Amino acid sequence: MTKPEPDVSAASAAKPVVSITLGVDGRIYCHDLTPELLAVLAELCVADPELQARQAAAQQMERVHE
Amino acid sequence: MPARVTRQSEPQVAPQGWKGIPAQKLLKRCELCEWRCGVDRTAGQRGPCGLGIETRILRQYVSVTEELEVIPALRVYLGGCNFRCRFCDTAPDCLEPDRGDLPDPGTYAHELAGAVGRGVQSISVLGGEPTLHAHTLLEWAAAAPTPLPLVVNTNLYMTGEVLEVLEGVVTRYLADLKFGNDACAQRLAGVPHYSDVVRRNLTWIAGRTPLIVRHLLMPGHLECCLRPVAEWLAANLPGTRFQLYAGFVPCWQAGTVGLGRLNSREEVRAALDLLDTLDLNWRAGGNDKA
Repeated sequence: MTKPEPDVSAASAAKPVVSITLGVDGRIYCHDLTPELLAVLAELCVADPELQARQAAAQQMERVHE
Repeated sequence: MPARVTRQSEPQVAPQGWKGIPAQKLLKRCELCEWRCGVDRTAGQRGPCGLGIETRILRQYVSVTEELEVIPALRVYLGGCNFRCRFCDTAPDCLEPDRGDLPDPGTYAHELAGAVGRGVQSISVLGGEPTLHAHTLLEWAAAAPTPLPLVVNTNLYMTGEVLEVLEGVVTRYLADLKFGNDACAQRLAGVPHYSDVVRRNLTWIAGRTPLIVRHLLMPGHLECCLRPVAEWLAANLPGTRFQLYAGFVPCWQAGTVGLGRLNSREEVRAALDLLDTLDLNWRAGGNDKA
């Protein structure tokens, strides 16, 4: 009888939820930031240098995938 | 719960030599953190963190949240914590160490190495408190086919022994210096002897392992927490890379300890003004610097 393989993909398969809080004064609080979420925030925070730096980091990973 | 546990000894000033001790021996009489509860985690006894010998993965995903030095990162959440921060953004999940997946360490180490091969810059381990899983971090590092860029998010409450055993395994610490005094640490996180422990550990880490010190600005805690934290760092570890998080959002039980609101713009401005006066290599996230 063979030992069952551990299901290492289960944790990665679970979809995390990111909390976004909007302050009444217009500030946006993002609890976490995934590469996929960057595009959404970029629509809200146009030309934010911090966000642009994170987009550049995410693109580095995309280039490795190619 | 930590508040009900009696400490077995006072925090030790200097790390002791645990190098070369098989990882699971660390758990026989657990002194991985400064609760020093001494339970035998290999026999199913549970201390303040509630952890046994297992390391479960609550969740993992690629993130660009953290500091630019470490992103993109594969964030790996481990269960079990020795703090009870009332404002914790991962509670209550992280306080239930029996939740999550239980991968074989060897297989999982290969999965982590694969993520690095696909372009993540770091394996960012968080929790909970990941140094309570020091034995597993050692196993992952030993089993990985290539060196793992292990970045550990920590509350800095580990014993000196843990710092020593993880030296050379952890490539960077992201260290949360949460409180500027013992009274706030006790009231907000249920932790005794906070300042002595975390300052000792920071001093030890600073000369050995790349380090980013973080502080989450809590509403109403500029003078009692941010100021002592920042001034101590500037005086004792000048030039330290320091990250201020000003985007506090009340989570879990924050409202029960007077933290049920966001920081005001004025509070954030005052925090940034304070940092401008100190010898720190600081940046701010979730900020209003402009």
